Amino acid sequence: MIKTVPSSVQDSPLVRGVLITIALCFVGLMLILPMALVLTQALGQGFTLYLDALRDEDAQAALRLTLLAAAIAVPANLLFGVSAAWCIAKFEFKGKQLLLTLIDLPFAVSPVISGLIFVLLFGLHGWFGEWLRAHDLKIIFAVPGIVLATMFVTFPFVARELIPVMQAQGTDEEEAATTLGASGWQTFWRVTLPNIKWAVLHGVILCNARAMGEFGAVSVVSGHIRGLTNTLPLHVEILYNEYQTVAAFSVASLLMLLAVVTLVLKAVIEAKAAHSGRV
Amino acid sequence: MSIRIENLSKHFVGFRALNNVNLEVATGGLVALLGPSGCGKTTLLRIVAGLDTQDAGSVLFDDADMSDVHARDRQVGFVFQHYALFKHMNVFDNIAFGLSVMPRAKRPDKSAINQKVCQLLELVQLEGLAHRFPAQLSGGQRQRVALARALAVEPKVLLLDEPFGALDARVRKELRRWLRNLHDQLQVTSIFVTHDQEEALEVADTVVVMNGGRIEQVGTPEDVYEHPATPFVCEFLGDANRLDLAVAPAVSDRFSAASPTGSAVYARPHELDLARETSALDGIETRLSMRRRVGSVVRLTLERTDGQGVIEAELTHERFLSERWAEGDRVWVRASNPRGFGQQLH
Repeated sequence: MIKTVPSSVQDSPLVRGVLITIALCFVGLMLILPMALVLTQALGQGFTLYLDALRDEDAQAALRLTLLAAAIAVPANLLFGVSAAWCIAKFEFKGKQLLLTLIDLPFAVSPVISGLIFVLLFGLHGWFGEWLRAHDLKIIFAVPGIVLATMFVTFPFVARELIPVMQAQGTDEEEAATTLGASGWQTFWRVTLPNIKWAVLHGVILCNARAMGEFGAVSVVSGHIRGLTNTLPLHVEILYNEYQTVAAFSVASLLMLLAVVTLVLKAVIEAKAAHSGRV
Repeated sequence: MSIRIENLSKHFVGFRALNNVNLEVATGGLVALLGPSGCGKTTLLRIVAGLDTQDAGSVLFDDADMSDVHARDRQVGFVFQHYALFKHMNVFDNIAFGLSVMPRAKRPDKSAINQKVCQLLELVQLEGLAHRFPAQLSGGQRQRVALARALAVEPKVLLLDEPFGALDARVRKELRRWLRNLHDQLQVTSIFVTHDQEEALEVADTVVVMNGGRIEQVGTPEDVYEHPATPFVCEFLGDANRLDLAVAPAVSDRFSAASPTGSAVYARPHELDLARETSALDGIETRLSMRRRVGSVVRLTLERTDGQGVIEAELTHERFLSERWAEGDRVWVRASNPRGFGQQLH
C-alpha cells in the first residue's frame, strides 16, 4: 500500500533531509555499529576459535539453561496472559483496575529488585527459607529460582499485547456465537482465538526475547555457578570479566542472533496481521 | 412461539434502563420497538435474548420462564447492529457456525449442513458469495449474511437490533421491504429495534413506542399514528405542533371550550387549515417566514404574531402553487384534526 502525500502538505525537502539524516546517524551509531563490533570481535581471531567458544561445555550448559527457562516461562505467561486479557477485556468486575496495574508491576520495578524479592522469599534467611531447607528444596542459587525470576520479569508481555486488541474487538462476536448455541470453550477456540492469534504470537515472541536475554533479576538469584546456574547473558559477563574477549563476544553473538530472528519474525507477523486485518 | 414480558426492570449504574415493562408478542408477530436513543429498547431486546439479565420481572417463551435459561439454549436468532460477523470465516462458515457447534448427537452431517447453507444463501439472495469474507461484502450483504446465520439454527424467535441502522438510505428501503416479505414467508416471531419511525411504521404489524424505560403505547402502525396515547407518542411519531390552549383557544373548537387552562393540543403539519382572511376568533394569526420544498411537499414555517413561537405546516406542492403562498404573507391557522390528551387536563 503506497500512499502519496500531496506536496501541499509536505515539509520542505531540506527539513525532511535533515530529519532523515539525524535518524539514520543515530540508528547507525547506537544500533548497527555495536552489533557489527560484536561480530568482528567474535570472529576476529578466526572461525575455529569462535566455534570452540560455542562448543565449550559451560557455554553449552548456559545455552541449555537459557532455553529451559524460556521453555517454562513463555508457555506459563502465554496461559496467564491470555486468561488475564480475556477477563479484563470481556468482563466487568471489581478490582479490574488493580489487576491491570499489577500486571505492569514487573515493568515498573528494576529487575534487580525483582530478583531480590525471590531471595527474600526463598533465600536461606527468607520467609520460606527454613521450610525449604527442612524439605531439602533449593530455589535460590538453583534452576527453579532462575525460572521464577524469568517468569516474573516477562509476566506482562502477552497480557499487555492482548488487552488493547481484545478491548477494541468488543464482545459482539462472542455474543453472536453464544446466541448461535456455542459453548464458552467453542466460542474461545473458534471465535476469540482466531481474532487475536497475531497479537498472541507477537506477545510470545517479545516475551521469549526478554526471557532469553534477561540479566538483572536472574543474576541476583543465580549464584553464578558455572555449568549449573549460568544463563547465556550471565555467561557472557563472566567470560568478559575474565578477559576472554573472543569467547565473550562469541557467546554474545548467539544472543544477537536471537535478537535478529526475533525482529524478523516480528516484522513477518506484523505484515501478516495487517494483511489479515484488511481482507 | 409467543413471548410474554412481565414487570421487567433493569438498572444500570446511574440510570434506569427499564421500568416495569409489560409486553406480549403473539406467535408469528413482527413487532417494532421504537423510541429515541437511551429509551431502553436495545436493553429489552438483549434481555429477551439472554445477553443481559433483568433485575426484576420475567421473560416467558410460550409460558415457560426463561430467566434461568442460558442465552445459548434459548433458541433465539440475534442480528446485531454492526452484524458481528466472524471476520476470519467466509460467508459459508459464518452461516454454518450455528450448525457446526451443535452437540455431536444433534449435529447434521456435512452434506446436510452444505444443503442448508445453500438454501439460506438462496433465501437471502447471496448465491455465489459463499467464499467471500465479510470485509469483501457491502453493508447490505453483510446484514443479509448475519440474518442467514441467525436463521440457520431455525430459531423460535428472531431478534434484530437496529437492523438497518448502519446502511445508506436507499439500501435501507430495499432491505425493509425484503425483511417484511421474508417474515411473511417464514412466520418466525420477530422483534426489531429501531429509532426510525418510518421503518417501524412500514415494516411492523405492531409498534411498541418506548420512552425513558417505559412503554408509552402498543398498537398497529395506523393506531399509534392516528390515535397516539400520550403527548410523547404524538410528538415522536411524525411531526406535531404543540398548541397551548390557554394562549391559543381559537385553534380548535373541539378542545378550546372544554379544556381547562394549561392543557395543549397537538396538530400534525399536514393537518392544518390555512386561510388568508378570517376573524381573530377563528384561528391563530401567523406570518409565513420561510418555505422549503422537500420532494413532493412544501414545508412552511409560520411565525405567530402573538410571539408564542412557530407552527410548522406542510402542503403538497400542487396546493402550495394553487394557493399562491409567498413569504411574508399573513396566514390564519386552524387545526383540522387536533389531538388532546386526557392526562394533561389535571
